[in-house]
Amino acid sequence: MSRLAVMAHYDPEGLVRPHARRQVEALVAGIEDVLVVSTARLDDESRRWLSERVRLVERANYGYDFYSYKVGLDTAGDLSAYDEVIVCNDSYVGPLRPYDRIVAEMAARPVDFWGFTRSARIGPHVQSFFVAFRPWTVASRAFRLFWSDMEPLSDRSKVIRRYEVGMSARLHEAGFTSAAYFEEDDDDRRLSRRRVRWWAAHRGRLPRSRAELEVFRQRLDVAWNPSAAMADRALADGRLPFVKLDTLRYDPYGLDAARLLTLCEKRFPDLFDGVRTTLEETATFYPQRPSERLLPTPLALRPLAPLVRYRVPARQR
Amino acid sequence: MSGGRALRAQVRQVLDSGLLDQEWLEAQTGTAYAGPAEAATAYLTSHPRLSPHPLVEPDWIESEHTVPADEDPLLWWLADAERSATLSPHPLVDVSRLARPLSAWLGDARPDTRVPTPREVGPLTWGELRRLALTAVREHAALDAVERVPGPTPTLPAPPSGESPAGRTPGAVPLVSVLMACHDQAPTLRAAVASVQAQGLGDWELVVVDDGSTDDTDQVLAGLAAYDERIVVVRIPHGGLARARNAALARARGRYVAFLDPGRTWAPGFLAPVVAALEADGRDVAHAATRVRGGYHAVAPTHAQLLVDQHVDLDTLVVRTELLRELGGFDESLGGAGDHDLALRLTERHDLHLVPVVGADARRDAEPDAWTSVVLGRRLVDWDRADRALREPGRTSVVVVVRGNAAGILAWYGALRDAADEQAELVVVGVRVRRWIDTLIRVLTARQPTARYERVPAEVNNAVALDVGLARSSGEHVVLVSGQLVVPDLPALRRLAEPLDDDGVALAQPLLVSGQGLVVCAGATFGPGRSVRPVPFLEGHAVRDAQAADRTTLPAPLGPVVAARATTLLRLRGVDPLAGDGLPEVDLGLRAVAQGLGRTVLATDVPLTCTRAALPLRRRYADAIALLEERYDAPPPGSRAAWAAAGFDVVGVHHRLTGPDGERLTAKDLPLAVPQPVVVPHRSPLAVTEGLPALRWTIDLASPAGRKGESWGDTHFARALAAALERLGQRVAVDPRQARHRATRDHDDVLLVLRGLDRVAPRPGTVSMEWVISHPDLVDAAELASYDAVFAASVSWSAATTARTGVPVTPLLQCTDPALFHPGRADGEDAATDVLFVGSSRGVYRTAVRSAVAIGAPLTIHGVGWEQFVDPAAIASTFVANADLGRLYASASVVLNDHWEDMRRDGFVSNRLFDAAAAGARVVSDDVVGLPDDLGALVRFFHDEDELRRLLDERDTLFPAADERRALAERVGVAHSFDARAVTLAETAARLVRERSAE
Repeated sequence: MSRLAVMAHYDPEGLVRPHARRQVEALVAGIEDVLVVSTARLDDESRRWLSERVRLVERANYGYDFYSYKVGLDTAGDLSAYDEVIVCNDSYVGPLRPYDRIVAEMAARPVDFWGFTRSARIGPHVQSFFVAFRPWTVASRAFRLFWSDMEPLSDRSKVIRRYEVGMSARLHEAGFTSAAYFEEDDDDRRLSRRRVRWWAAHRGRLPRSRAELEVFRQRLDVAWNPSAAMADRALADGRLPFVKLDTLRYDPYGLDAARLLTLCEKRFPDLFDGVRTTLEETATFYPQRPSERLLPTPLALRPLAPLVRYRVPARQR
Repeated sequence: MSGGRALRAQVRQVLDSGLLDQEWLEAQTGTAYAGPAEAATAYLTSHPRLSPHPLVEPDWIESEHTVPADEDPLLWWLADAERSATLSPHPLVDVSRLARPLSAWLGDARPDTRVPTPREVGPLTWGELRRLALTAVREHAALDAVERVPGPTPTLPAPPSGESPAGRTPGAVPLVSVLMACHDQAPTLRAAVASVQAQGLGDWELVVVDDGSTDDTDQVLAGLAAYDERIVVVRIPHGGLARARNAALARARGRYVAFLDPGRTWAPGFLAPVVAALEADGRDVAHAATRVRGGYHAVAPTHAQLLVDQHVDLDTLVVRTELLRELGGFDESLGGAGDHDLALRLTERHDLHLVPVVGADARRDAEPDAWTSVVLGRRLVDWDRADRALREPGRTSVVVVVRGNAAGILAWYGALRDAADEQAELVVVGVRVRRWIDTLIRVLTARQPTARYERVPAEVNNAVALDVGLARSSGEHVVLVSGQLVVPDLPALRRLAEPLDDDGVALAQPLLVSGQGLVVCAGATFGPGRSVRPVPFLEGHAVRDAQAADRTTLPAPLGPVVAARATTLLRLRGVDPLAGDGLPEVDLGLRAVAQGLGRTVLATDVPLTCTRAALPLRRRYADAIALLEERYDAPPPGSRAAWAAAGFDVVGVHHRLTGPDGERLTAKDLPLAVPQPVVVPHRSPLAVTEGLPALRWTIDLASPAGRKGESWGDTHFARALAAALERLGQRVAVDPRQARHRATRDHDDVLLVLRGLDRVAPRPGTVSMEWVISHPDLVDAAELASYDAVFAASVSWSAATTARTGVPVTPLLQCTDPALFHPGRADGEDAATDVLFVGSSRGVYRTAVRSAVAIGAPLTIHGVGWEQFVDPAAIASTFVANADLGRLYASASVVLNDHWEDMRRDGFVSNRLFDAAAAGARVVSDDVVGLPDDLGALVRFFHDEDELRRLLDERDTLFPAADERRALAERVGVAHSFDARAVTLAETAARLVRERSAE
């Protein structure tokens, strides 16, 4: 088997942080051909470290991770030589299971492209921090046109809409199917739904008018982001094979991310070594996004916090 | 009221009405009823609706009137006495001709009692009508029983039990080959394939043929095949569905083949039980039900039923592979409807067997396209038999397609009856007509020895319907009529066959005119360039231009009517069903030329009235030309020559641009550009010094178009004047008032307005003349000044108006047509009438008539509106044809005349004075100034009743003797003829045209 992984890297201080180094090493261990596209102003040590292990492409910092994927795929050359083509970035701590195990498990699934997780937010899509494409998908017109039509965007939400959600949409419309390594079960869905409601109660004040009630109702039913809503499924022996740094940094659903980090450090001491430091060192570069700001928990809801907050799953799998 | 009680009350109403005929209902349903109440219940609860009585047709009532949706049409009709006395409940009865309610009339009617039928139907006794109707409805019921497919059922019967082949271990050779052909359907492939993979039976192979897709079909299939080795992918260059299916069949290894369109999915339990059924009883074909809204479509259609509609879904059909191969697979010459064709071929020798399980959701019904007509046409028309059939020399068969429209059907049969011509055959082809229309046509056909009827139960296009009619016809000549004509005119259609006496002529194209009297189409011509895009020849022109091109060769016919020798049509194998939704007649003409069968000529003898909608120049045009341009590389020659024959040179091109759907064009659209010729009329040299130049004229009339205009004196006046101008070498069109604004007047040199009630705007680019022959009060100075020349039919008014306005007005008096009005037309020695008056009352008790009645003169009146004023015995007729008027005048002892008061005062001498004088009559008129001297001896004025009495009493001494009158009349005929007026007008026009051209 011959696989290609293109990893997009960025660091505001030009470093390759410990979690990213472990990610590169895991890729190299499980994937035959690894190419890192970095938009960081790498220091010498980091550049040397990467160059010794992977094909390194450095480029200016624009266009987000998707443009790095494109540059990497263009650099890789003839993609038809690979049995699988993977794109991923350095935004998560992981993999919590070896890549060769993950890839081997997915090889039995009759799909055209897959990722760690799928989300229905905005539109059904494979989350773009890790996506693998089967060779026929790579050979398709839809795949080729998606990448060749791409232009660098400097707006994060546009990147999500046009490229993250857009890529899945384009491939689905062309007739291809997708799947996720993390398969949600009923328990997951139940808990996720509860956590979305918890989040909704923190997004704005409780409704005081009919119009506000309608907005609130809609918020109660929005699709969840599994990498935040199910983040503690990582503790179940890496069933969710990653934890997003953003989840730890912003706690987007208000589920006590600090507790999650502590639990993760306890469960995966080696894999989470240095993560806390990284979060602290880069905090100033990643201020809270206004769109994700939460209000304090209303008094009446405080007793419910233990029902939703991150915890070690009861059933270890 | 409960439903049951309400129904019982309605049953009682139906029974009380006397309009329930139990035997009639039984004939419709083939069921025997215990009694009238049961029959009435059957009627009230029927769906589709039955007819309760041979003279009551609820569907007709509903089609003619607005019946509330929840009311029974019969009960609605009965509910209002006024309604049931005036509205007919059946197209074959006219209740307005009955003095009492229909049920009362029926109560006394005996078999030999005459039914008050509408004019079109002719005399018919009640006994005969009922007998014919019963026969007709039984014939319909018998056919319907064979053709009708049961509707959806709410449940399916239990599927057969037995060993399912599901447990069979897949061997080297699969049991079933699933054939799938796809072209650019990648997005739907996975769902379709998944539904095959989900079948209980696993012993299959899926042969997917990628028919030259340009989307990601190949990659999606690669992904599918990577995970299931039962999937075999075959790639071929794009060649159409049938070829792709045959390619799949060629690769099939299974004992059976099943089919699945990539846009659809199978129900999970489809394949195993159907294959089990085939295995169990050794059948060759079986199929499953489909799911429809509210139930299941679960039928095993017969061949006869498949000739009506495609009732079997190919995607639920499983066939023994060998059988399909024996049948030759799919017909690759068909671009569509291959499923239907295969189902028809399968059922020619094999019965379909329904396995009561669901195969798939029913297809969403698509409109049957031309390919369906191609497939059905092959089976509905037996060309070899039609070739052998004997044809009657001299007979013309008119083939008419009907789909509904009872009034239209009655009109055709009425036309056949009026024609009373045993060499005129009417072949009616009813396409998917409902029970009552079918019955109506059968009754009408039974009464007309030269009518034939052929019923096509399927929804086929007009081409197939015409071919069916052609095969059924017996005439030497055949006129194909595919659209609704405003007036079905059989003698006109018979005459359309006349040009076919020339062996070089294959097709005759009629002149089609609109209700406004303008040309709708006189055949097809093609614009400059290479496109094969026909446009209607002479559209919007006056009929006169078409008459100039009579018997001209056309590039092709165009329009809903075309005539040909039957042999020609048979050699062409009729109208092509594939072209049948567009312009099949154009294709017919082009094929006739290509096969050396002859050309198309225009016959203008009898214009046929139709609407522009009869030409598919909007919605269906794009499809029609797509087909024509696929078949023909370049437009046929002859367009320029046709225009030349009509008197025009093609000098340029103008493109009519429409959106692809024939509607509005937006900037995004790829327009459909139809090249239309830009033409100019031939010009005769103006510089000749002797004689008149040949000019193009239009006479603008105040009278309306069509039949209504025939009763206007202006119409005949204009025609006679036009004929006189034509004798002077002019070309003259006569426009009714509706045609006033036609653009094609711009081709004219001269506009001559005969002033009526409307003021007409002259066109600055054309020499415009006005002749004031009536309503002088309406004409003002501005109007007069807007014309290049003005004439008036009064010496005194002309002089006064010239003096008053400064616009020169030339006197040009009324006139007469000596060919129609001369003393030689008299019936005998002062024979027919004593005192004659011809004219309508116009709602007033006119002076001449009032005075004549007052003195007790023996008066004879022809005209409308006199009943309120005079003894009806004095009214001889309400209408006299212009051609007969001369005879009446010449035969009368005295002709009475009077004028509108303003006309009399202003000296507008009525044309009746000229006509009557030219006929040699003694004319007694009210006093009018400006009577020409040469009429003086023949016309005497009266001012009161005493004077009138004296004139009548002493007519023999006051008027010259017969011989002298004859001589005077002949002089009037020369001096005051249309020819004389035409010379004045033509000379004036020539002078004005020359002056203009010199500017």
